[in-house]
Amino acid sequence: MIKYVLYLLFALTTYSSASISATTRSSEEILQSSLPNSCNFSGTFTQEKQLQGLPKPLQSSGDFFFSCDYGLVWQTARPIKEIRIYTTENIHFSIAENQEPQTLSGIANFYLAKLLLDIMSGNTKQLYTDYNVNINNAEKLDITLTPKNKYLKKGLKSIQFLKGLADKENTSIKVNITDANQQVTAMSITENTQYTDKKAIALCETIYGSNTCAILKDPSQYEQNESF
Amino acid sequence: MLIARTLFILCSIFCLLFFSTQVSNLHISTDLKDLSPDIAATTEQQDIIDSFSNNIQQRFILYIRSKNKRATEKAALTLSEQLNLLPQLSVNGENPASIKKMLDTLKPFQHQLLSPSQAKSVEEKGILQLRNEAEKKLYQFDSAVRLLPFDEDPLGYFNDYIFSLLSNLSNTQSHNEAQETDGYESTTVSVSIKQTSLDLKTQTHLFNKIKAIEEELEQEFSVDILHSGLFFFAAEAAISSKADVELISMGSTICIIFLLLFVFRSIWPLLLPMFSVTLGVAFATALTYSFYQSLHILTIVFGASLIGIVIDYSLHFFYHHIQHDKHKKNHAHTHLYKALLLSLLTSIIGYSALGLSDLAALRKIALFSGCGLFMAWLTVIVLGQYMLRSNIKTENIFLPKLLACIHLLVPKSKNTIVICFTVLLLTLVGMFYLKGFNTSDDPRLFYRVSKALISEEKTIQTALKQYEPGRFFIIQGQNQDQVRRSVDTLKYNVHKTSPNAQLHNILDATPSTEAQAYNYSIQNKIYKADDGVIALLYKQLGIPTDRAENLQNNYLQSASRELKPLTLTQAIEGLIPTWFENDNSMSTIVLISQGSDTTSFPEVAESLQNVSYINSIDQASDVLKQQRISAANILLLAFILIGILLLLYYRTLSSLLTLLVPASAIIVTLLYLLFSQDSVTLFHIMALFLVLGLGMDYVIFSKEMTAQRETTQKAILLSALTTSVSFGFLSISSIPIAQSFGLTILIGNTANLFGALIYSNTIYTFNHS
Repeated sequence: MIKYVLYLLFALTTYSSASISATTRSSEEILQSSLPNSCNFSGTFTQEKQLQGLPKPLQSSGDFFFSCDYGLVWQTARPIKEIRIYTTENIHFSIAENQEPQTLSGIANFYLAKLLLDIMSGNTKQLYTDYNVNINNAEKLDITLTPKNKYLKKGLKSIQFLKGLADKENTSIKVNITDANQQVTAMSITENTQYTDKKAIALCETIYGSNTCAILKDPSQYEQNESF
Repeated sequence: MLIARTLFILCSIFCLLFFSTQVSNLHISTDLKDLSPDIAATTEQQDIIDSFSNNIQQRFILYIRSKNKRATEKAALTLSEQLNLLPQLSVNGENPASIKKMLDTLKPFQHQLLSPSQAKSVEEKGILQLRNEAEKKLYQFDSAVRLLPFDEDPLGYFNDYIFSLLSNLSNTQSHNEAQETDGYESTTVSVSIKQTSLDLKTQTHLFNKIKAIEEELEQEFSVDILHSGLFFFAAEAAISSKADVELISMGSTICIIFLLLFVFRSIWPLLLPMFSVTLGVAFATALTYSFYQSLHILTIVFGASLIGIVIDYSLHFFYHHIQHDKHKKNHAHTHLYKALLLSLLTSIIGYSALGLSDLAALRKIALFSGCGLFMAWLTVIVLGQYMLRSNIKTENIFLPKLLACIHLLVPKSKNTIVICFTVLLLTLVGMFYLKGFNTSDDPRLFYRVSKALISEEKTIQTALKQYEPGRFFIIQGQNQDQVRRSVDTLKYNVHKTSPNAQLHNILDATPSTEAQAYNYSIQNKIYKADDGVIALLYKQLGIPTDRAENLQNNYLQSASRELKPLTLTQAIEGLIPTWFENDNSMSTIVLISQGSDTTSFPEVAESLQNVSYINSIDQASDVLKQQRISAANILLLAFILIGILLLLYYRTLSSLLTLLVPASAIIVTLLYLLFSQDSVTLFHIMALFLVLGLGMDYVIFSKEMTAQRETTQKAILLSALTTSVSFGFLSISSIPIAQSFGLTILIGNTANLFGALIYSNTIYTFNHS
């Protein structure tokens, strides 16, 4: 008899734990599910910036390549042409058309580059470290991040994630960045292709050229010291 | 007597007026600066140090840590919110109004402010290239964060400049992001106190409020909250001082009341001591407050111990009126008043010596005690005769027996006093050569601070790696450029001798006059009408040209502007003020990163003009050492002066024997310090002045009242007992300086009692032989 009671208790405990985990996901899990989960991938993005004083929003689009080992190549193709390279070593570059790479400086650039890398790599731990995370709607994966950094919070009001706008095959995420002056930058990032580790850099070179990918692989070689 | 009465009435009216107008807003100061001597070479430098220290005193850091990162961050956020609700506090970096204030203050100088890389870019690149870059920047994702709207800073230069400026300036604002340190997830909340000086009541109230908030958060989030800042040291010191005042005043009063009731067996004789103590303390408070505009907590601690001395006048008065021979009444009165006056003078001389100190706290104590003694004496002289009653009798068993016991210990030879003094002096000299005195002049030892608070301070200092506490350079000059050149030279020299040392100064963040003018001039191509960078960019983006003209007008109007270091300091909340200006000169403080090797800094400063290196603790110790030595010399001088006074008054060489009593008492005290291995501080030496004053009191009464030897000895015994009770309580104070002061006087005064009795017997034996 005791044996049956114990079985029953065990079964009930297991069932209740399973149902809890199925219905109430932690906010970290919700955030994780809204972010890309592969290590090497490429895709496209569109961006719309609404700045006070501009008659119409600034729209741009481009493509990107991400490697969790090295970082991100972010190429704006329209209406201007420019490549930004955000590396995991936290050294970042911009390459204007037909020009030498320039090292990026500035604390705001640094934190936004870090944000983009954390989104791409699905680094929820780091996002939780840098931002206060608020789940607005778990089903729609509507999440708002507010910065903790004392400097960033002076200029950045919030970052909103929205998921589920693209079709089932592709993974897409919409990011709305609102600054202290209520100026909004809305981005839609779509992940198109995933790669294996070995193929990744070769494909980067095919898309963006060997020079760009060499900077991504070894940024310290190209770093110029920019003093404030 | 008429003069005494007039003075008494005037002083009483002054007290009455003072307390009727000031009692509701009496400011009790807890400023720790009163215990630090002036260390600078000039008044101007001292003003800078004082202003800097006052600012440091008005800020504190709370360090929150736990094993759980989110709990730490939530606790820090809640703590910031709750502290911001307290009207006396402002959490640095958390106030949205402070960001607006910073932008409003710095925006007029936006055309003067470019980082070196921005200036290089503007100078080297053509208009079209700059326009293209500006356009590209608008599309860039990482330029999405702006402090100013696009219209006010289209190229984003000012935006980038301010962000860099904030990250380059000192770490004075609150973090809400936890970082891992020593296995803990920790973060800080940096707080400024809005009021310039807090009185005891406000300080205690604020301290308790903060503690209550902390306790609640520590429980709710399971975090530890550590403290850094002088506010907590001052609050702790004030709370323990307040407890001391209660202990000393209550303890002394109760013990003395019991002692007087025991001796006089009536409540009536308590009236005169009560009046003299009350009026003495009231007058001392009124005059000290009127002079210094505040009453320091330490003054009250020392003032509480005055009760023991003030009461002596009443005791002598009663004893001699009750027990003297009725036929010799007038003669006895004259001698008593003379003795009371001499006694007052010697005590005032003793306390006046404290006034020679460089420590504000001691000067305040000197004024307070001198006034208290004077008013108490005046009260006894004026009101004493109205308090006499024929039915007052003194205790006749215990005191005489105690006196008899003491007499058994006291030799009765004519030369005893000389022999005792000689033996004591030789012992002291011998012991001094054998053991030597331990001395201490460290100002940190003046007040007791809990070990926990020191440990918390160290943990936070290590974790935050801010600035070397109490060590910095002061640079002075006629104008900003001269100061800047001196700062640059200092940095160069420091780097040569101590390559890892880092110096910080507001000029690092303020471009020079030339650089600002240059930054302005090179931006002409940006703001040019029609074909400037902004005009072209606006055309490209379809923005009406009149908006570009507005920006150009703003640029032209700002031609003569220059951002001054003082404006920058005032613009950024929580920034430590390191720039000072007056009509004739400008000065700056150069801060040193914690962990820098500072050994070569004094020589570096010595080799440069207009540069001074301040090491507060070392320099304060040096000043206190000099004061200790000069106080010891003044003590010798006081003996000589009193000797001259005695010779002039008594016109006999034997009167100098009286000096042997306090001199022997001082030697006994020094021997105690030698044997106990206690470090001799300035406060021990200052206390020896009082030992001299009290010793002279007793010996003068012995000499003046030889006709009533027994009565005088009883009065001296009772007087010594009351003094010992008061200073005995002071010697158990939790404040080290009060403790050493009390203990020195307790030992010295006991020796004075024995010395006075020996002297009294010597005179008696001499007169009868």
